[in-house]
Amino acid sequence: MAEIVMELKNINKFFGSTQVIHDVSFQVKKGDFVTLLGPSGCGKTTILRMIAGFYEPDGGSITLAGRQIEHIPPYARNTAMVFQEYALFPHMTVYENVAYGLHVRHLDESEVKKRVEDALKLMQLKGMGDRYPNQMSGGQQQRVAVARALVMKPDVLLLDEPLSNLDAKLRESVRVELRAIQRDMGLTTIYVTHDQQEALSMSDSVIIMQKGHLHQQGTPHEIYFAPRTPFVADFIGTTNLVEVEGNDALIVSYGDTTLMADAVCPAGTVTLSVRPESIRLADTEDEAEAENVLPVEVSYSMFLGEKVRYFLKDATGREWLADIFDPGRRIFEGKVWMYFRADRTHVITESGE
Amino acid sequence: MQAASAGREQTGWASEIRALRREPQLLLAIGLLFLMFAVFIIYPFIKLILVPSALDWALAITGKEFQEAFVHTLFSSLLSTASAMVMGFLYAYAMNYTDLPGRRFFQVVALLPSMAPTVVSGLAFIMLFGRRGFITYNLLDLKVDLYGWFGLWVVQTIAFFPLAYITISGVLKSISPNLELAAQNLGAKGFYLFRTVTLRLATPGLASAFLLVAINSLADFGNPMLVGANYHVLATEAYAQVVGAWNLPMGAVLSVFLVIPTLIVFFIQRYYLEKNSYVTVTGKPVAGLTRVTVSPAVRWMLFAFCCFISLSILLIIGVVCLFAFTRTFGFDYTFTMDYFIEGVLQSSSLKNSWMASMTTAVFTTLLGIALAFLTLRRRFPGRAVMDFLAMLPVSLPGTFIGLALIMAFNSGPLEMTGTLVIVVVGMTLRQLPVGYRQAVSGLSQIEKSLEQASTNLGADSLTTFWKIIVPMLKNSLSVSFVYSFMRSMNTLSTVIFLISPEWNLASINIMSLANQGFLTVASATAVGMMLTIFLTFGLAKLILRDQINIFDL
Ligand SMILES: Nc1ncnc2c1ncn2[C@@H]1O[C@H](COP(=O)(O)OP(=O)(O)O)[C@@H](O)[C@H]1O
Ligand SMILES: [Mg+2]
Repeated sequence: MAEIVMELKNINKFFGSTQVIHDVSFQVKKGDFVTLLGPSGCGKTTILRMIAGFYEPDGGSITLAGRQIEHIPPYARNTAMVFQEYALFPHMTVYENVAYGLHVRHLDESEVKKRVEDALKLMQLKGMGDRYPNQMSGGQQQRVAVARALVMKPDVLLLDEPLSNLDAKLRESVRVELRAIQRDMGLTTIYVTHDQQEALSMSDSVIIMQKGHLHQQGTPHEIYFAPRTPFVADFIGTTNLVEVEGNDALIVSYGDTTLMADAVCPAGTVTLSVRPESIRLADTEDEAEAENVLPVEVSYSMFLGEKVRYFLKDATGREWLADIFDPGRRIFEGKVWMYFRADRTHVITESGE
Repeated sequence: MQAASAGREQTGWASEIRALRREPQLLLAIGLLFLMFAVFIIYPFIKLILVPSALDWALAITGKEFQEAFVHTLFSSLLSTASAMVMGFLYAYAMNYTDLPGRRFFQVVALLPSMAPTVVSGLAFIMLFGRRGFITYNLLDLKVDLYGWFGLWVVQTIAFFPLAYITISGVLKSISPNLELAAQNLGAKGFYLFRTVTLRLATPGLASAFLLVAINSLADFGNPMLVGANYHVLATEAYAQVVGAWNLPMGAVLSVFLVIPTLIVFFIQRYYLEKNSYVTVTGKPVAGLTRVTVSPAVRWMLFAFCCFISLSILLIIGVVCLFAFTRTFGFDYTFTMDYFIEGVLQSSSLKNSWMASMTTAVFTTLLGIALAFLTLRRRFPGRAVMDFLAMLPVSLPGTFIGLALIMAFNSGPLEMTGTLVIVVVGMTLRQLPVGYRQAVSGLSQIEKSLEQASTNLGADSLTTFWKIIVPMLKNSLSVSFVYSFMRSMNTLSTVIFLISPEWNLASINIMSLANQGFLTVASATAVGMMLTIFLTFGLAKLILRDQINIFDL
């Protein structure tokens, strides 16, 4: 078990009279890549800025590398950040930009030179040290911004949507590279994004936020397959959220029929999440090979290449989404049967509000 | 990709001219504007240079008093520019980088002096520190003589402080706070951060501001006249030559001397500083992030400094009001309206100033937008020349413009000396760069595609201009309107040679009344001037229904 290097405890933040962060707590393990994920405006940047020290939290504490930092000014924390707009110093060359923080620390010039050159090499910027930021492409500027932060060997590296200004293709390759460098250096990293693909593919741990509330922290796998709140289930990927009546058993009531869930459901109304790709279709009830079988009618289907997406309507009038992969030439129409395994469902008991 | 964009950007005169031929209105507009430049800029300036004979030039270059005036001009204006810049910088820094109590108050007070001609600070200086000054004579009973370079320095520092402050504040505002946050994030703080980031980023803007203030103070006429005493500068020498000795050629030579330093400055600014400006490459500022916080000690020093400056400004305005409305301030404190009635209500000079400035404001605003539209959005041969000519007057001292105009138009088919028309022409030339700059910056913020959409829907250049551009630029147009009105009301050096007995102006009245010792009536006129400017702003705000606030400029 790696040690905890950073901890946020009951952080709140107000802008004027509006509360934008509600009682957020989480822990970050040393060397982990942790992603803050949520729709735009949910408070990700605000949290990052509180860690960097640009905002002071209104209550709560932040511990980093063994000391409480919430009242320490930004320049005295070791929390190098990659800004969304890069914020490269336009009046300095690439070399001077990357060396800036080291010069502030009054390191030996030879040490500075070595570290800057290593960082430039690592970010594939070798030989570009003499250029000015405005002589570089967006992708290169982004690398400089990362190099400038990496070179500080920060206690925690902060990145605020660093890829959002790059085009889609570049974004993917930089993603892979960034993650490899982070892993090699063992840098504890907090990464902000609103892109779930980015979050799932890069992170050791994902934190899902909405309207200033922390909904769930977990591995990408947990977040995807065991969402704790309806918001998480809906925000990550696509899912069918079904309200069912639980009664302290595996079996829950749904309309006139029953369904089997993956875990014992407490009494009362709970939400069952079923991913579209977990649903199969069959022409007859006999062909359906799973615990949960429902008669449905195909209202619409969409051919998407690798899969066909079906819009289904069950006896209660509820809409379901089903994704059938490797569809061959078969397209279902009219009245069919849909079925899914109990262990592919997920019971959500929290509302998250 | 490459080939496509190269094809679209196809330039070359041939294609530009072909495009022009398709739009006769556009051709007409360009032709008219160039004609205007030729008549009102190129012709007068050539005339001004040709009028003096070789002998005049020789006399001026060898004349001891002229050499002295030249040195005085450079020395005193550089000195007061430097001090105004330092004060303006500290003030602007305090306004933009701290959360001092009363910032709103400080901001408003700093701009008050720009509601009155700069000569009002000279007037206040005489009333407070002059030979019979209220502080030096009445309170302290001193017999000091502060006239000369020292008095001029103090007066000009105060007089040009608002201009320095406004310009520097604009420079500091344009620095993205992100960069300072990034520096802090990398461990920089305090003076190191200031030196390596803030100051470095501000330097090109500061240099431009310095040049702007320097040009204005080089050409300034009123204050050297009032408090310079025997410390002659080029502007006052030229005035003495023209009005005193009626030696127009010599006046012309001296004004050319005045223009040499400012032109040098203009070229430095245009071809060096603007290329090295960082403002354009910084990211968008982040709303609500407070910038670097200064240490408590620095904070309180800045607070004390701002208090000192605002009190000085209030003192100036206060003493002007007191002199205007008491019988003999310092001796007889009874309230009187006599001076106000004499200087404001019975005098036509304020009315003349108002009419000329209003007309000027309309012209500069319209010309500015037309020029900006053409230089930014249309391709035609001579575009760069047009841009150059539109910005040129910024570098020309007012006295130079004024002299060139009387020489060009005191006879012949375009005789206009002795009319209000020539006053308006002078003011318009002087303010044209303001209108042009505003329009250019407003226009560059409007997506080009909007106009393309309009053209795409069948509108020609003229329709696009009136129906799309003008409405969208309403805000920057009102700024340039208000600004050129205010500056025209206050200008002295541009119009000093252009007025005539029938068409006197208020700013000149203040100066000459003060110069003749009628301090009370001069003060009353200054009060009338400030009231007129304020009332006009109020009126403009009601009519234009805009959101602009003159104190946010
Ligand atoms: N300086 C500020 N002043 C007032 N409100 C702010 C400020 N910064 C952010 N907010 C508000 O706080 C909320 C969270 O913002 P932010 O952290 O930037 O969201 P995200 O980065 O997740 O998109 C938003 O509703 C935003 O409008
Ligand atoms: Mg954000």
